[in-house]
Amino acid sequence: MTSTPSFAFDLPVTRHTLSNGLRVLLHHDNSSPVVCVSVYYHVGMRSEPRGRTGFAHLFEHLMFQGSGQMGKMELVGQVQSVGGTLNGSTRFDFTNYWEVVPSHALDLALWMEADRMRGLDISEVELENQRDVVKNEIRVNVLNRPYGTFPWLDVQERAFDNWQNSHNGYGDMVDLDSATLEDAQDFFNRYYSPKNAVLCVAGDFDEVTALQSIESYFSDIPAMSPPERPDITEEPQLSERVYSKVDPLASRPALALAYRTPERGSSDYYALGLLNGILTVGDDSLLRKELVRKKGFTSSVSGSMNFLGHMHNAETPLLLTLSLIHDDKVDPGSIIREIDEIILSLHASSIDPDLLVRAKTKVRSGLYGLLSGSGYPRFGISDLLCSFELLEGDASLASSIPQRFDAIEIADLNRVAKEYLAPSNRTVIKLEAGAK
Amino acid sequence: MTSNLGLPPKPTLGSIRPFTPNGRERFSLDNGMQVSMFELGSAPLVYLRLVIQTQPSADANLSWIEKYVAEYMGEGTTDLDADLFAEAFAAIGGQLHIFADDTSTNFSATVPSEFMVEALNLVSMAALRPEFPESEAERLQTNLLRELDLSKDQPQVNAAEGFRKALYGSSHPFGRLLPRRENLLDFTPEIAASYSKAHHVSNRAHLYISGQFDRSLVKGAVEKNFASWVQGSSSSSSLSAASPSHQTVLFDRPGAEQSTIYWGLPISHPGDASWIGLEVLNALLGGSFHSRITLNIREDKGYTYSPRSMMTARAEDGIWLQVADVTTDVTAPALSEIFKEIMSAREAAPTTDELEAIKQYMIGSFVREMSESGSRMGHFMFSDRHNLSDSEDALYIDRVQGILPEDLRMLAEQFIDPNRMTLSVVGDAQKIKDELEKLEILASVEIAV
Repeated sequence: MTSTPSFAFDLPVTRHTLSNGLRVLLHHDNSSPVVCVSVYYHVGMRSEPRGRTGFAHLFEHLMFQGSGQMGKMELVGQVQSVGGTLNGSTRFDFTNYWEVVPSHALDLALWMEADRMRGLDISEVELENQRDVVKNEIRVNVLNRPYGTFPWLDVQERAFDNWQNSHNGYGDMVDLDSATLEDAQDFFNRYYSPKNAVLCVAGDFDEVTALQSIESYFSDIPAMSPPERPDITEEPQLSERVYSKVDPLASRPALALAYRTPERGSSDYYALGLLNGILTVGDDSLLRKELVRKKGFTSSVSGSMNFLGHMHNAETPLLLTLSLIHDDKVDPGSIIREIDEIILSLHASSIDPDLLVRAKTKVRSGLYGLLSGSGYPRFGISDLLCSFELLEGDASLASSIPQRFDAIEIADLNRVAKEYLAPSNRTVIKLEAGAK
Repeated sequence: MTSNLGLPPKPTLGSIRPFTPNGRERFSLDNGMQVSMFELGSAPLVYLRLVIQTQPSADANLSWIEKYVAEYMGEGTTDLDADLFAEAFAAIGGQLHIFADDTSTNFSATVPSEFMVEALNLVSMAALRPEFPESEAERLQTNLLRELDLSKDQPQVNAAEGFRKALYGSSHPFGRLLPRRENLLDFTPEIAASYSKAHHVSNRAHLYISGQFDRSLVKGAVEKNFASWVQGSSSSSSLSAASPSHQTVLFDRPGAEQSTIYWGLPISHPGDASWIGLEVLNALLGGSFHSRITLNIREDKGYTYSPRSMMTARAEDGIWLQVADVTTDVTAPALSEIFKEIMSAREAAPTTDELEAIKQYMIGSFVREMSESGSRMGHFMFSDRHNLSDSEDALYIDRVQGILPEDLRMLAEQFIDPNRMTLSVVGDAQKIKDELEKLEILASVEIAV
């Protein structure tokens, strides 16, 4: 047995809170002359009300359509014209906006975020336009594509009973059609206030000057009471749920098994993260070995704890979803039996200790990878810091992720495999191929 | 809806800080294998990428052979079988991704820095001593057939296939994106082994290393693991370049909610004096969020979500291409708007302000590309593939700065001629064919089979 390598994972962060409640995170790294400015609002797909599915995402689009000092798309043009890039995304629990700019343009990025935190300035024309854009986003990513709802939307709709968790956050076309400017104003007033946001600056900058700019641009935005958080709790699942569906665009059947997860931050949650690594991450993973290499049922098996990110940037309840596309001649029942046998083997205290050691090493490597960014330098670290600030109340807790994994022992894996990877805790989706 | 009280005036900025990226250290082994390394990044990771140039076969029946061989190389080595190899790589926090494109086989891995030596050892086993076990042949063939079926279901793949066939012809290896089913059934472990022996030789290989690592340890480990690699013939391509072809190809997808558009043509190639200017033109036309085509068909008309133009390059040629998935009933209007933007770029030079903004965007993109290990490695790989000197990097910013408004107009006129462009559309033929026929800018519509 190899020993567990020690973790070195320090994410230095300075935390401040402005008088209006805006939380500010600063992470310094001058290894290249770029800086990432990100604003996370604590409102996501789970927060939107009934009859307004997809609204959190539609609103994200509206945030680029004009504010007090900037016309439609002017923010995008400004960022590009200083050599920067930007994006925004709507997740289950938050909506984020970020710019990565050469470090001399830090003040401009801060100023623009402060401008749109003060309010939008849009008309029916912009709303109509972005409604069309969002509908086209849904067409290209969901409706006009095989496996478009599989497994994300398919499993969440059936595995959760609380509407906040189960509804389609991309949005129903009818709901999108009925969204109004008044809805947008209400949504902004409720959720887009300093007290409900975190601002992070990561990269190459001077801390004293940056704080002065932040004070000057943001501190007089009126403080509002933070909105009530939606109730996202679920009643316990007592028995297995099994569903079939036909995908008219798919030419091969597919299978998903979605298990409800333990609570974020708990020891069991990290144990489940390691079990996911043991089952699905890397060429040594048990499901790949059995279902891909030995049985030849499929070319790959996916495992995900968060379809809109990873296990560190969402609130629970979540689902650990195992999914694969297989051939017609393979009975999904036989695949499920194989998966159950492998999971059963993880109940035993005699499981190979190297499995746990390798899973911890893969997790560590993956964490470093998250920090390395992907086309947006310094965004990966900003995302971790903002997620921990919003979801656990303290960005510096992100540095403790390795210790949380490190504390997991084989007995924890046994216990969590028994309790959470049980048929009674899962939802099965059998997708039938309809494109033939 | 807004309250602007208290927001100070928009800040004025200085200019972008001068930036000269650190170079790479290069060396080669006696057997001709090239090595490049550069330190970058704050995470204790090392990025490894071994690129072996392969020679595309002129035989279109061998389409996907390179993919088959790459898959097979993941099935174990003569040192370690596939399971033991996978466990050894996982024990150092990674996995080895082996993949191929038309002209190279690639081995890629990222591991914590202290495992760099072990990782190089494992990469060398996979590249130099693959086993090609007969026992896995049938399963790998089934995987390829499954992948072929899944690819055929994707409208974007069908659009790309139609585009390439029009540009290269169906007997050219680049003219076929997807293989024939019966050709895949002919692949055997013997064919894979013989392909590997001929192509995977030391003098076609280039190993790139970045992240945090110790250079002397790298040199020792590379020498130890790769010095015994045998040489072979160098790769050279005698394939013909893409030919411009004024065609409209329609692939019928009954009931499709959107039409998938691929519209483009051959341009120049990297290394040509026009290339950097074309990159700027591309960013201005459709290659950035604030580009003209995106502002028009997305932000003004709402026809689409993710339109974009791009440039791709091979040794033989370069291609400019606009792609978009547009709502079915606005297929023809979307094409008309793209056409208008192309014509506008050909007829009038951009204003100084517009050009300055896009130039800054290109310079900033270059700085970002140089700021991350993966993208900077990709930059060096591109330079090597197209025989560009690293000294070009130091000149890049000045070259972009030197572009004048009229330069872009002339480049558009010279290279982006709608009368030479190929359009490949995947959509509901019953709903869009007549509308396409009415567009005078297009060649007559052929239905793809």
